[in-house]
Amino acid sequence: MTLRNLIATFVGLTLLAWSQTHAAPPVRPVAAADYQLVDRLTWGANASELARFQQLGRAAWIEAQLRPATAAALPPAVAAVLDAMAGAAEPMGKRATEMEAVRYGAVHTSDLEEQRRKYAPYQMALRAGTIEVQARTSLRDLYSQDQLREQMTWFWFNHFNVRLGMPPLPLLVGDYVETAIRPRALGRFCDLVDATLRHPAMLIYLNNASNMAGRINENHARELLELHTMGIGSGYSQTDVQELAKVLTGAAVDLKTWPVPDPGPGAGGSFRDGLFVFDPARHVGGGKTLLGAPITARGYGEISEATAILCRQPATARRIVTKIARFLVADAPPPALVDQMTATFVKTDGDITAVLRTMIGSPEFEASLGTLFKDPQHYVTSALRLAFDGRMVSDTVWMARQLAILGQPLYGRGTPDGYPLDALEWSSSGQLGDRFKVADAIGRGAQWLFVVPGQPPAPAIPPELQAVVARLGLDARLAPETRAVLAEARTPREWNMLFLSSPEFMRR
Amino acid sequence: MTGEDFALDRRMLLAAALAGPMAPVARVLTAPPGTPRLLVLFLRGAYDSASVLVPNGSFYAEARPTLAMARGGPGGAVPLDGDWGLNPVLAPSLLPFWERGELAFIPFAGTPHMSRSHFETQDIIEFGQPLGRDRDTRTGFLNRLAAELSGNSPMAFTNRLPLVFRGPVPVPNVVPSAGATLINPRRNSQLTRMYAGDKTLGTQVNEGIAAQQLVSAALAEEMVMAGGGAITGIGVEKTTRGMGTVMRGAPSLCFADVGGWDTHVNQRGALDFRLGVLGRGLAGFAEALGPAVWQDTTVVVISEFGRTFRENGAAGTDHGHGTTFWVMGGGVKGGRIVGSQVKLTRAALNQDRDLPVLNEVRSIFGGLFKRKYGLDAERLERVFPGAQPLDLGLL
Repeated sequence: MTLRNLIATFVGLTLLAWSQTHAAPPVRPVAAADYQLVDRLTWGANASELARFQQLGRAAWIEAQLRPATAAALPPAVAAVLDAMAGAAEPMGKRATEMEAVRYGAVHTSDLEEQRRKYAPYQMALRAGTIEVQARTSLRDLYSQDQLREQMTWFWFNHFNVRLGMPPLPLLVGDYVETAIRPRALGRFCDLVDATLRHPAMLIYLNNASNMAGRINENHARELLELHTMGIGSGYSQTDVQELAKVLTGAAVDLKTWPVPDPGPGAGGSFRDGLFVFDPARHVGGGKTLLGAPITARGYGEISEATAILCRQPATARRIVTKIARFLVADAPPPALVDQMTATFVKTDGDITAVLRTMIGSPEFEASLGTLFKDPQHYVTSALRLAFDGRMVSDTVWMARQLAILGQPLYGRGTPDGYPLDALEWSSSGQLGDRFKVADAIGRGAQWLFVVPGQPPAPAIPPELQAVVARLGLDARLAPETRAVLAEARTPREWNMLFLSSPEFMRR
Repeated sequence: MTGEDFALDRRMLLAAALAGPMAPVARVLTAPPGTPRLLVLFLRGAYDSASVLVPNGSFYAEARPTLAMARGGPGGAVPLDGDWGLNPVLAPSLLPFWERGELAFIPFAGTPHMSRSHFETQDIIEFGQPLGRDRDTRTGFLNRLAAELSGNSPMAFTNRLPLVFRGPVPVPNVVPSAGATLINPRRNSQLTRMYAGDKTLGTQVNEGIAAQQLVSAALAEEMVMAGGGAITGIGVEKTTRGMGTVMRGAPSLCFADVGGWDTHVNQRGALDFRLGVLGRGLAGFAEALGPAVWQDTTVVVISEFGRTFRENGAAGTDHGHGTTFWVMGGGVKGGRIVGSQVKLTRAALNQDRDLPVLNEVRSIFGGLFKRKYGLDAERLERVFPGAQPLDLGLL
C-alpha cells in the first residue's frame, strides 16, 4: 500500500460517517454585496459559510474572521484527522534528525544496491511529508471557519516562500506552516520576519545554513532585503546586502542532535531553539552597519537588531500593505487605500489585523468586490468548497494535482519570490484552457477526491450546482451570455462545467 | 504587420480551429517556406556562464579552486579558440553545431542594470525598455516585435504568458507536451459565446482554443509520421522536440524558458546534468524542425545575469553580472565568439566580483532583428526605444 493510500484510508475511514450524514445547512438568498464579501474574505463562498454569516450578522462575522477564536475552527472529524497526522504526533525535529541519519547512512554506503535500499525510507518520508503538509492545508482551506486566517497563511507562506520539493524540506515545511506562519498570520509582521528567518526550512532553502565567516553566502541576506522586507529599489545597496550577510553568519541548522537541548543561550554566546543553532565560531565578529545604522558586535543578538531595522523602514510598511491589498483588493490598489493601510501599519507597529480592518472598512474594498481574478489556488479551492459543501473529501492528492496542472502547486513555487499575484500572470490563453478542463473534472464529480482504499471506487456523482446556485440567488446575477449558454446544458455535468467555466466564477 | 492585418490572421486561425477536424488545421496554418523563425530561450535563475563558455587562463583557475575545468584532455573544456573552451558535457550535443558554424557565443552580455536580483533583472530584460526612466510594464519586447512583423505568428511555450510577450498583440501559450488535448467543438462554441462580452478574458479564451487545436494537430501528425510512436525524450528534451514540431507549422516567433540555474551550493554535478539535458534538448529541437526549416531558424539562449567569477565558500557561485548568450541556427554565421571582449584578469572584473557587461541585451537583439527581419531604424526604435543595434554579423 502506498503512503498516499495510507493517509487516504485514514482520512476516509474517519470521515466516512460524517460525509454521509452531514448536509449543508439551510440558507436564505443573500444580497450580492454580502455574497461577494464572504467570497473575498474566504477561500470561496458556500452555503455553510453563508449560513454562519446570516447567523452572526455582517459585523460580527467580519470580526470573527479578524479575531478568530482559538478553538473549534474545524469540524470535529476534520480536527481528528489533523491531530492524527504524523506531524502533529511527532515533533519535526525528531523525524528530521532520524531521517538525516538514514540519509547520511545511505550516502556513505558504497554498494549501490545497498545504498538504494537504505535510501528508500528517506524518500518515503519526503513523499509522506509532502502529502501530509498539502493535505493538512487543503483540509483547513476547505473546512476551517477561520477562513481569513487560512488565506493569510497562504499569503505569508508565499511571501516568505520556501520550496517544498527541496530535500529535506518536506520534513520541515509542515512545521514551518504550523508553527512559524499560521499562529502569526494575523499578528505582527516583524514577528513573522523573525520566525521565518530562524526556521530550519528557510535557513536551508536560502543557504544561510552554510553562511559562515570566511565562506560568506549572501543569498538569504539579499532576499531578506529584497523580498521579505524593503523591496528592490528602496534604497539599500550591495554593501547593505554584504553587511546583513555578516550579521546572519552563524545562524544555522543542526540536523544531527536529538533530543535537542533546552532552548536558550548556551556556552560562549551560542544559542539554540529546536533545530536552530547560532554558532559564534562561525559568526563574523566586529560591528556592522546596516542602512547607515550601526550594529554593535554581539553575536546572536545582532539578528533581531537587524530585522527590527528592516521592519521599521517606511519602504517595508508600504510594500507589505501594498502586497496585502493586491491579494485582497485589486492588482493595482487605489493609492488612497494604500496610504491609509500604510498609516495603520506604522501606527500599530505592523499589526496585520489592524491593517486588514482598515482595508475591509474602506469604500475602495467595497467597490472592488467581485472583480479580482482568481489565481489557481482560489479557483480550485472555491470550486470544491461550492461543489462539495457538506461532502467530505477523503483524499486531497487529486486537489494537489489540479493545482500543479494549473501551474500553482501548493508550497511548490521554486523561487523565493513566491507566486505572482496579478491576474495577468494567471489568465493567459493556455492557463484558461487548463482551467476549463479542471472545471469539467469537478463538474463530473471528481470521484478521486472521495477514494477510500479497500472499498470499491465510488461512481462519479455530479454535484448539484444548479440547485445550490439557485438557492443562493446567484443565478439572477449572471450575465445574459452566461445564462443563455447555461440554458443549453443537456446534463448536470455539462451545467456544472459551464458554470465553473463562466466569467463570473473566474472572479472573487 | 498592422493591427488590422494581425486581427485578420487571428480570426482565420480561430475559424480554422473552430471548424472541427484537426488535420486541415495544421495544413491551413503552415507558414510559407522561408518564413523567418525565432526562438528565445530564457535560462531563469542565472546560469553560471563560466561553466559553459569556459575561460582559459590562470586567473580562472585561481578564482575557482574546486570548480575550474582543465583545458583539453579527458573531462576538460574543449578548446573553442585561444581564450575559451566548451564544457565537455555539451560537446556531444553542441560541438557538431559549432563545427558546422551554426553556433556562436556572445560573452560579456546582459543588461547594465545591477541589482543582482533575479526577478527584477528578468523583468527588465523582458520589458526591454531603456533603464533610468519609469518602467513601462505594458509591453515586452517580443510583443513589440510581433507588432512590427507581418506573417509571423507568435507563441509562448510556457505555462504562463511571459512578460516578454505581454502587450496588445494576442499571444497564445501552450506547453507542447503529450498533455495537449482537443477541446470539443460544442464546448468551444459555448465558451466563446460565454466570454463574448468579457473585455479582459474573451480574447485569451479564443486564443487558447485555437492554439490548443493547432498544437494538438501538429503533435498528432508527428506521432503518425513517427509510425505511431510518441515524441521521444523526457522532460525538457521532450518539450523542445515538441516545440520543433510545432514551429514547423505556423508559429514562428516563439519563447520558452527553463529554470533551476541558481547554483549557490555544490554546483558542479547538478549544473552539468542540467546543461547536458539542455544541449540534447537544443539538438532535438533542430532535428524536429528538419534541415529546411532549421535554415530559417535562429535560437537565442539568454539568462538574466552571470554569476560571481570566484566560487563561494560552498563550491557554488553567487549572483553576478555579465553572462554569455548563445546564438544558434542553420543560417547563423557561427563557430565564433563574438562581441566586445576583455582579457579576464582580476582588474577586468566588475566590482572585483563578476564579469562586466560589454554587450547590451537590447543592442544584441536589435542587431539580430535588424538582420533577420530587415527592420528599419524607425521600427527598431519602436521595439527597443533608444537602443543602438549591435551588428555582430551573425545573420
